[in-house]
Amino acid sequence: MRFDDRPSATLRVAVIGGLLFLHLPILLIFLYAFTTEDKSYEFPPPGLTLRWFAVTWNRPDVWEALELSLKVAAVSSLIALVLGTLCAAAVSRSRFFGRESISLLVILPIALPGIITGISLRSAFNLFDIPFSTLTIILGHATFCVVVVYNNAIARFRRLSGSIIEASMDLGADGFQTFRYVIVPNIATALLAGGMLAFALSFDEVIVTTFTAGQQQTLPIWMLEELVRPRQRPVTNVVAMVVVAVTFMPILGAYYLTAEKVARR
Amino acid sequence: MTAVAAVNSKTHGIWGRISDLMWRKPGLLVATLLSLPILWLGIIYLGSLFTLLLQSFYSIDEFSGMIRREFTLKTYGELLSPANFDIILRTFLMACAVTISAAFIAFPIAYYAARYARGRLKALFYLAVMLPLWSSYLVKIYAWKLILAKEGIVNWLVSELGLSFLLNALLSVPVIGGNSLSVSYVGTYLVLLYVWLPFMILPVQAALERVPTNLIEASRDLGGTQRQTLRIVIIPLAMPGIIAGSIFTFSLTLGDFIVPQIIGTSRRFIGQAVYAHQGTAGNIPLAAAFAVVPIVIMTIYLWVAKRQGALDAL
Amino acid sequence: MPFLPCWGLPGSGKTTCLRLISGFERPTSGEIRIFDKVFNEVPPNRRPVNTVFQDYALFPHLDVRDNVAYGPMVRGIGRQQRHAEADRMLELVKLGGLGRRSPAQLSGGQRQRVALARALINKPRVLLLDEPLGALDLKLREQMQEELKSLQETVGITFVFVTHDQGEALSMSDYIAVINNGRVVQYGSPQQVYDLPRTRFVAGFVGSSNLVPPELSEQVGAASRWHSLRPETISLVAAERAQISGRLHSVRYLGSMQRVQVRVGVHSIDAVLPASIQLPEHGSRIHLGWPGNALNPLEDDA
Repeated sequence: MRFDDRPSATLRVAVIGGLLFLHLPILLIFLYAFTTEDKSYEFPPPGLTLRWFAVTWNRPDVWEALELSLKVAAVSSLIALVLGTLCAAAVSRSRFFGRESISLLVILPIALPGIITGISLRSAFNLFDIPFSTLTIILGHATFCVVVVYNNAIARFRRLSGSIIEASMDLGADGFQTFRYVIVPNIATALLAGGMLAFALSFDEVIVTTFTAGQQQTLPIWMLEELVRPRQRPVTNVVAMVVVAVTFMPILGAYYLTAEKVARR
Repeated sequence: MTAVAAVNSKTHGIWGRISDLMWRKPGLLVATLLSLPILWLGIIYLGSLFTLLLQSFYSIDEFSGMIRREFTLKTYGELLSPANFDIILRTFLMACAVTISAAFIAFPIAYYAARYARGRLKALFYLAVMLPLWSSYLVKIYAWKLILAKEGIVNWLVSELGLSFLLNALLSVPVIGGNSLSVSYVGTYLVLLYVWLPFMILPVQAALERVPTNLIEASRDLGGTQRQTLRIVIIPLAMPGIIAGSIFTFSLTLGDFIVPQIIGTSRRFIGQAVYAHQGTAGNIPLAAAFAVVPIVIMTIYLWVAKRQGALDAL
Repeated sequence: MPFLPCWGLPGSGKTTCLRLISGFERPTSGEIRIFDKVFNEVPPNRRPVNTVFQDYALFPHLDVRDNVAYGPMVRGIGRQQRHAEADRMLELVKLGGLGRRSPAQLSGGQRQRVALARALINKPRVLLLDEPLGALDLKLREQMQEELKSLQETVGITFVFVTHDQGEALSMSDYIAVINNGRVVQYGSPQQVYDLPRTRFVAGFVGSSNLVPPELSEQVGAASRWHSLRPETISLVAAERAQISGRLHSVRYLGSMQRVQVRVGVHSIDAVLPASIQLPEHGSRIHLGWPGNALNPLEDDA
């Protein structure tokens, strides 16, 4: 028996409304990058121009912030990659006492508001007289990035048939060979996806960073200054658009890497 | 059979021996794998949390402005002063409002994605939620600054449609209103809702995906209307997902100090109070005590969620 | 060189037994001996044993040839040599020419053969097969049974073959071990296991024996304990030579034979008789007899 199970008109309206609410504001960013108006946020823009791209290109402060952000994101996601994979491997390999606590410990830095992680780290750094630097930013970022890698890795470990690891041992491979020839090839895409997401997360992070950064500016910190005290609106518009475009790439990449694997299985 | 499985030359030596040891002592393997992450998270993260907690039991000397390092509950007492308690209440109410609204907006999207979207459309839905979730937090706030500005798109649209009186009526409501949207609670609420909404959609959708279609068909078969089926079968089964999503929206709203700073009134939220006390005011103990509030609220929340079985849906 | 099927119900400990031999489980007590050498402290990768896993466990990221060549590879054998060896093994399991396929492109039966080749290439002294035919359909299963037997004769090593299908266990070799609750309850030729089951458990599951309770055993003049009695050893006899008499309860025709249920008090006994024998009406009294050694005394199950 079939029921009339098509989505109702109310549902469709709610879905379309919700999706527009999610997407229109971001699209607006793309429009504003081209506006000729440089003193206010006038809508509709009085005219369109490409000149702000050139202006932004020649701004050393933007380049420095971008460079720091990329550096921090790269190092943090690498650390998170190692820590997250180790955790996922341990948790999925055996049922040991305190397994749930490990999961909780990994999730906690992201389940608690970022400001808590931020102020905790700041007060600890202060207490032990650790000077604020790139290193302190990375310490903070790596901590909350672990969970992203962990989630991706553990999902893949779960789908990985446990017997192929046993098969490898059975065929004469020791633990290290099994890791290299069987585990790594089978979880590589999940790790790459996790790493990319961690990169995006770190690249965009501002809350923890405001607490753990010294004088240096990451790109989000630079933007935050602009948001609080707008000085160069057109440059901010362009930077915002670039940031959106740059973070989309790892997200799409991670999606492609995990989705393709699902389809093949 | 003459050739007995040849001795594996490659697995001799130190690595082979370590591998053998790990087999003999599986606990050692787990311990080795976990040692690095535990050290990192344990020392850097838990250690920091602990120092924060510790500092909340210190107090500040009113005359010298120095931190007095002895145990006291005085700082927690300060939280209850009318001004500070207002901050906590305001933040809590805002988190409730954002979470409830997010659940209402998220449910239809998640429901449609889980029940009706297939193949390509499904992938599209997934990306339609993932992209806003992952796009830059600051850029999202910035976009709303553009939208809510006096000369921005909302005012433009409202005046084009000749609806200015409606907007003015909204802004003249005491408490939630203000001079313009970008300096009102309505503005803060809209932006917080926007920024954290995707975190609600994903877990709800995941929970709805797990509702077996035949349960829905059984309900319809037994004479339930679409509406009854939704209320009696689907929503209760999706509840763990909604709770899981609410953990994010609630927690993230509780701790946010950037949104209310950029779009909103001059009245503070918890995050701003923490930021201000640790920064310019130099009152680390009070900042720490303020920071403990969301921890306590979230601990209670997580405990309730765990009892509801919602943590598996994270 | 033996081919040893191990038969037991699901959950009886067959798989655990294999995992103890291969080294994926560790015994809490006792010794794992393979050809008289104790292997308790030796990890799986150093045991002269290979396994064909129930789900085959082929490596999804390697093609068929590299799957088969995996053992030689981790032992450090060069690419050319190991690929040549792998191709030879694939010929042996009749998969020549499929080396470049990915495991996902193979049928269930083909995957099974790859798993066999991948295990045998290491020249193990013992090959463990965990319900290897469970996932195949009936026709393919019968064909693979034959092939496994001939393969075992070709390579001449011990196969330990675990199954829950008693037909498979009985038909495949010279020796069989019946496992219950993690113990081997009987070990012997299929004939022995079938005719002279040692315990009630074995008698109950190998074929369809009558289980004769102690009080009934006493009635027929045997010791007061459980016995097994195969239905096909029973015949209709005249009243004065009867070992036992009862009322004819039901008859099921099985083509050339008929299966007759006879009620003796509260008990019932099944007999399989030639279909040509004329039976009296239901409910009439009939008399049964059997050769002296047909009543097989049983031990209590542990």
